[in-house]
Amino acid sequence: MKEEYIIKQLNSLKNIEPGADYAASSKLKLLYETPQKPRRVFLLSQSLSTTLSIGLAIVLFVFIGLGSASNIFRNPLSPTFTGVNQELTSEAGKLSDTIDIHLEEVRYLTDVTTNPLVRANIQNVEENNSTDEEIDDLLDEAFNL
Amino acid sequence: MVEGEQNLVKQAKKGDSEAFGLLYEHYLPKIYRFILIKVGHKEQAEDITHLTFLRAWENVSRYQYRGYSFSSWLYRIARNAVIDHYRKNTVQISIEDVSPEALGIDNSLIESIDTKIKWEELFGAIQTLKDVEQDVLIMRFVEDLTHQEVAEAVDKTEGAVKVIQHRALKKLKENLK
Repeated sequence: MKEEYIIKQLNSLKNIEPGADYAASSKLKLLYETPQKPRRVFLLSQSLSTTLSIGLAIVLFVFIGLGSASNIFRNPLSPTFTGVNQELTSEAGKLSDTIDIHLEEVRYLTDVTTNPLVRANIQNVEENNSTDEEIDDLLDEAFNL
Repeated sequence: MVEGEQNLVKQAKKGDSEAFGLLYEHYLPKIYRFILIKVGHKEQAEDITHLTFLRAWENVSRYQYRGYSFSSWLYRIARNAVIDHYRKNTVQISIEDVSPEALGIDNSLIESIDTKIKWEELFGAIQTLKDVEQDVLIMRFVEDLTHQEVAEAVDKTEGAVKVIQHRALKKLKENLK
């Protein structure tokens, strides 16, 4: 039996068609009775997740931006004193951190009238005056350069 | 390919049921034939065909032309639906099951007893081939797909498809002797 003959036989199967009733009822069920929700939910969830991703990215950039800006304001010396002794610069940086801690304590201490615990802490703050003097000396030294 | 197919697919992706309906009408006979020849049972073929188009309709929004034409994408879904059907059901097909009457083939198409016998033999012989061999022969010689379209549908290279086609025809020739 030749291959061409077999191919011809296969070609003849093209005449097979689905029943008209089946085709009509299947189409009806498919397009008009199948719930649309899964597709819409997919599209909706896609748009929601895209919106959330963009929103999170924007918030992140804002935080990075704010962080950079606050860093510049906290360390005014670093962009202007290019010839400053490296050791002095790092010590000034450490001291600025200490200043921040003290500022936090000051904010805490302003709440003296309502919080009895704050009053107890005032004594501790006053005992650390020696550190403040050291800070003043180093700052004077830095400004005089 | 149906006229304006790209546009219809684009509309269907947006949820246009009329557009998908036109695609359905064009591809239903092809997909149905493909599945009927593979499973050899009319009711099962109708169920699997419906399932194929249901999956296509539910996932059309995700379809993107990444080297697969829309028809190849449909045939892929059909192949997977047939595989799932075989996994769930142990199917044993006897020669009576693949008679044109059992397959629901219109008697007017069977011009003579000779043709009827040939179709029964042909169906029986096709059933003895491997799945991918059946797929290639049906897509190439019943549905007139190109080697490239068949390759996309069965996830093989064009070269592999040609080799499979050659082997399948050789086996059919031996089975029909």
